[in-house]
Amino acid sequence: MQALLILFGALFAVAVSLACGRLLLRDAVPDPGISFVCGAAVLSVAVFAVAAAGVVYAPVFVCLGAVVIWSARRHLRFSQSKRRWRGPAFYAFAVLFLAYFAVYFIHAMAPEISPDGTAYHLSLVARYLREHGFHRITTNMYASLSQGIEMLFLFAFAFGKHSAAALVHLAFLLALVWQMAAYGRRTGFPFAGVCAAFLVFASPVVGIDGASAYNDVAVAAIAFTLFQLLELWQAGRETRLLVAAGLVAGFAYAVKYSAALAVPYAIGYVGWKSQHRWRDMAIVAGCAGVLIVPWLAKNWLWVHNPVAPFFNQLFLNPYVSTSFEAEYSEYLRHYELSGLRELPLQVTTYGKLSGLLGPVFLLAPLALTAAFRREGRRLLVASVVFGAAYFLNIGARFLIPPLPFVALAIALALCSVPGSTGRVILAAVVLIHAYLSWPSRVPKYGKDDAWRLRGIPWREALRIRSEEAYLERWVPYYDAVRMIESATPQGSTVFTSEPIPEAYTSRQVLVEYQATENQVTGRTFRMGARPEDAPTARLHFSFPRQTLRAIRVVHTGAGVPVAALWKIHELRIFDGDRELPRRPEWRLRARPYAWGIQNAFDNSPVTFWISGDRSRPGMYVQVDFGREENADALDIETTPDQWQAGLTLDGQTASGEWKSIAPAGSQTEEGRPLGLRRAVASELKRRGIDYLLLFDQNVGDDDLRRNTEQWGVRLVGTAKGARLYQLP
Amino acid sequence: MHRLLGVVTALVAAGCNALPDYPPPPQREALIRPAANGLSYFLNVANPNADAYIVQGIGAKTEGGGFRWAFAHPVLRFTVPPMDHPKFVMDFALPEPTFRVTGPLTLTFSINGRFFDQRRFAEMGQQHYEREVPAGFLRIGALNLVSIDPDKVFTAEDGAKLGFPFSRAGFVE
Repeated sequence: MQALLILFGALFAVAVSLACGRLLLRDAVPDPGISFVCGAAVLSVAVFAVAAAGVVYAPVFVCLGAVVIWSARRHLRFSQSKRRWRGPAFYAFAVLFLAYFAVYFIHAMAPEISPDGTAYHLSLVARYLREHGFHRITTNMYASLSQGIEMLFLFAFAFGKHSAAALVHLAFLLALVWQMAAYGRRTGFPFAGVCAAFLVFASPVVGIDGASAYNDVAVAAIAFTLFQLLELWQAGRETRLLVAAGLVAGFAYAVKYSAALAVPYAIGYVGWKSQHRWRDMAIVAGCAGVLIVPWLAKNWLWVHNPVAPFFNQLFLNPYVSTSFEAEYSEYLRHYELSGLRELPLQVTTYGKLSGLLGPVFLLAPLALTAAFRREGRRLLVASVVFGAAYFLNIGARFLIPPLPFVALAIALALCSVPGSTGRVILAAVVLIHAYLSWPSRVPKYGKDDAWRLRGIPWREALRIRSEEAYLERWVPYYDAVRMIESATPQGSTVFTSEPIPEAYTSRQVLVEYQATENQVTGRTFRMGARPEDAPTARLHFSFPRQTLRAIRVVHTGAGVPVAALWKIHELRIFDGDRELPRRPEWRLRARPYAWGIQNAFDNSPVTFWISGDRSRPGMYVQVDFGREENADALDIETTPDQWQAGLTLDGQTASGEWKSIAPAGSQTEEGRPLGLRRAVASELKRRGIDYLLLFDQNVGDDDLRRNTEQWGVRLVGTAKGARLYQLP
Repeated sequence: MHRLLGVVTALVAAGCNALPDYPPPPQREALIRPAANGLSYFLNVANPNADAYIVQGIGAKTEGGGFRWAFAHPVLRFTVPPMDHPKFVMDFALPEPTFRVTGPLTLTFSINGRFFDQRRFAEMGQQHYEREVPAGFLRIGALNLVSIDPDKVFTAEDGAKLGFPFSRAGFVE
């Protein structure tokens, strides 16, 4: 029954997409691959509207789908190309394609085990279904990414859950290779088209990505569809194709930010080739906007940054800090590579960067020789456009979008060799690729832990064998998630430092790195767990007693490690022995990171303000008294890692003039405040956390184990190196 | 076109610059912290009030990165408020020049004249001592004397009997 629901969910989503595509394209394009991708764009924005309206229910999707299919019933016939290729090699290719397809289909049908699929793609989808639509999420940066493909997953997930979503993604792979073969036929290179399609289809990273609830293969299919639509528009000049091209270009952005160049590519192409340049460009831009604006607006309204979680320097907000963005982007640009020289072999052969394209793609430079042909030049331009964002994230799967263009260019270059030599070489390359890319061959040359397909889990796919054992074996921390499900009541919030497969729990999970708020929670926890993170340092500034309207602590940037963040647990101002009471008319200001400054003025050492950006000259924290006050000292309570040398004190006199009143402070270190652990536990509870999930490798785990009573927490479950504590 | 650009720029500028100021929040209950002046439950020898904790057998000056030498019979004093599972902790070092002469060092800890612990430190370099103090050892809210006697001392050129340098000592939860 479950298998049938999975198939129904996936097939229904694909059928509705196809129907949408036929309604959009009518007879302008007979190709089902193009129709599917165009229709998927339409369905995606329709599901966005459903989610925004808060009516995400399976019956709503049934009605929506039925109306679309009914409306498109007269357009669902696909005419067949007259230029068919039916040589003996065709059947050989058909066998290869079918063999790989069977493997991919089984993996997509099997329980979802992909890292990102289980951690956020499907956990967000499951949450939208549970909550019947979008709700403001500020504690998970992935919720701010454009989720065009997740909207299709949501449609399928409502019926068939996780595997239905993966099958929808697999449909994009089929649409892609279908279109590549069709492109070959259309341009007079059917053999090259089929060979290139197979090179992409059998690529190990394409296979596992396409069989998972990811979005990279979808981006590749969208990119290739756009490429085809623009060429078809150039040939026929039908406005309907411009509309489709605009929607598909916008869909590229809606599925993945890194594909945003599809929009200027489409507009630029139309502007270059059109006789009615401004009108046609406006059509493309306007249609692209239909897919883009909803995601921009959602982010603008909810996280104050239309392109969250990026460009936070431009759109300052309390949800993703610029320091985190810088650190995260830096990691994605390098991973653990010692140098970019390693890159070609890692992404093609070894798989250290999350998967491998296959060793035959070391032939990619051959693609450049396709530039001698017009088709080749167009393919190469498209590969540059859709590969341009690659160096922002050098994971192998980020090469999937330009891969179809590169594969076609390679195939075209080889087929252009006079005589049959080129075709023979190309056929040999395909056979070698087929051999090397078969899932059981990949570990013979690739890294064992490379992201790749493992085994043929057909019993799990058909649900003859239970999902549990399979998930426990292949999904890291699955046991911890099951523990959360069994040990916590509905509606609980769990904090953890590790990304866990949230798609398999209905509880709200806050992962430390995924939002500034969570990072503050993590630091708050470690404050109680590690002596060096406790607020034991005091910076004392003394200055001649004077009347001030405001006082400002300014960071000079001196003597501070590059990545250090400025942190203040409490800031107190004194007049002699008397601390100035914090009057309601005071105004607290922090720049450039304004949020959380109240935490430095609440009398509690367990709350703090943190700068959100790497310490640099000019940052400041200011207290405007709202009247004149006498003062002669200022104390900052913080952690020992905050260096005193980088701070100076300015004061605003009664005349409104700012002047330096203390060039530097003196630092002392004290013992930890008493009752700190229990106070931290209370603070975590106050921040909305009900449970802490800790793993052996987490900082602070040992302190919680040794001092459980002092924390006031209760151990409610353990599972393979994980412990779940209930906060008081 | 220019008008549109102007509107977009104004919107972006408004979005970017409208950073808030805040009033002070409701005040929360403070935790007990060691007093900045006078005597408390934790000593950092680099602090200006360090002398208040020293009864005998400790160097008069803070040296280097913030340590003082403990001699043959060092004694410290603390006032200890009510604490949950108090532990006595000490951060100290066995420097290579003295360790080469003395070898492993055994420290005998007494609290208020009562034997508390004895521990051998066989490696040179930075050391951390920590042990929970059983009930009955401490006088809550009153003065508590802690002596830390090394079994060997290093005799310096000026005749000083050096036990070990330390930076922090006191009671934590």
